[in-house]
Amino acid sequence: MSEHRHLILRRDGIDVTGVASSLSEALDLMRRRNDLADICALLATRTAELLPVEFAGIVLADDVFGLRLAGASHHTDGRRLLVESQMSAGPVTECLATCDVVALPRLHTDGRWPEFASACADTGIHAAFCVPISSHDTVFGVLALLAETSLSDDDLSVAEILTDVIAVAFLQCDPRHVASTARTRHSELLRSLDTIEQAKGMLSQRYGTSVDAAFDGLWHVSIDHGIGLARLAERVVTRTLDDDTSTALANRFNRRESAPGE
Amino acid sequence: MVDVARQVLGGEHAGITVHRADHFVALVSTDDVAAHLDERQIVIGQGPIFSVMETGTPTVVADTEDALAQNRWPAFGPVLADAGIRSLLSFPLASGGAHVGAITSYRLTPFFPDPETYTNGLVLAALATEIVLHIEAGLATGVPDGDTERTMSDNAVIQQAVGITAEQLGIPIVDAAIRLRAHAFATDQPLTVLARRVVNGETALEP
Repeated sequence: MSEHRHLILRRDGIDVTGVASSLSEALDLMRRRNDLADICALLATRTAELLPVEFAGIVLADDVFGLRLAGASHHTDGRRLLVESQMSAGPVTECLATCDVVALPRLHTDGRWPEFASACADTGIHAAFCVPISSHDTVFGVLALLAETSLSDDDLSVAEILTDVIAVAFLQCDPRHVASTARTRHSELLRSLDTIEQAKGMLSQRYGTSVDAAFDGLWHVSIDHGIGLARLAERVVTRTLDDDTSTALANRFNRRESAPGE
Repeated sequence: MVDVARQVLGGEHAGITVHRADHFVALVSTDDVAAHLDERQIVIGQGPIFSVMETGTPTVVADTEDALAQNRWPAFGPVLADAGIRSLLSFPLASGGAHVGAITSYRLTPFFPDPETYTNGLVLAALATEIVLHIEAGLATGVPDGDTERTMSDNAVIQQAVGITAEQLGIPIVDAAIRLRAHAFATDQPLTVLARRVVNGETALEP
């Protein structure tokens, strides 16, 4: 990878405006509420818009808390299962172990993870790339990219810029305490993610929809009403939604609420 | 678990309280001092276990003789002073939005936790949460063997099943978390298997 990543933004074919806009959005989120679940969801979505990939996932890792898919570009897409399925052995774990980009431009000829390659091919995925998320020699995650064809060096440089943003969002701390801060942030993130999953379950049951579609509704209401994703999920789970937000959620699923706070 | 808390967090006394329905219960403590401190908070309705429940974040009191600390809990402060407590750390026990309780460490000297101690407290609280949920579900032996190895998708599915159960039965999320674990044990299946069946609509808990 280029050592001067900022220079690639001058090259033709790079969506400079898109990259700048994504960075601006992420920085704004960090400034306003620093909710890691929100930031991961945003950056995963924007990554898939900026790069020629079919799926982008942000996997955060901790020795104690394990691996967790903290953000995904698509939630109703089975491809997220491809990322989750090879957590115990695959390009994600390789990337975490080596702290280096794992590039699989032609999955069917690589040979290292045949089951993963086969599962990918079944969904039209023929290339995979894992970019480490790290800071101060501490690796705490991976940006996992699934694509139909190989990515260029410029595409991967853009991916590295985005991982830098994720790293900044994750830490925001004194460099002397990177490891312990990373674990603290990981703990907070897990709590947020668990709450979001609980809210997905409640909404899916309430409106007779899939859990993935329930997340879609949560995400859009979070964006439209300027409420952090985890905070909105907490209100769903504790049944403390205000009337406006409750109605907005109901409307997303094309139903009318009659009971306030539900 | 409380003995581990005392070692990890470095205090002289430690206790775990759980939140059931609308009240707290002192579940276990290292000694009479910790038991007394936890129980007095419950009676008075004030103290770190209430703070962590309200905020969902750890409570740190580095020096109980600090002016801010003295004003924080006007009724519970004297109880701490009588017991000779100069600092405390309290961590929430929570599974997502399910507030289970708190684990509190009490110390006889002023202490502001370093990042490593703070982080260790978070890890300890995460472990204690799962154990307490199983205990509350009536599983005296703690976390069943079949549930100790979970993938990240397993964790997500379990939490989704908790949400579905809470909505189906119209119960608080923490009760749903407990009911799900109790049902898994009663039907002799791993929690992860039960959770997937709930999410897939193959089974539902009865009221």
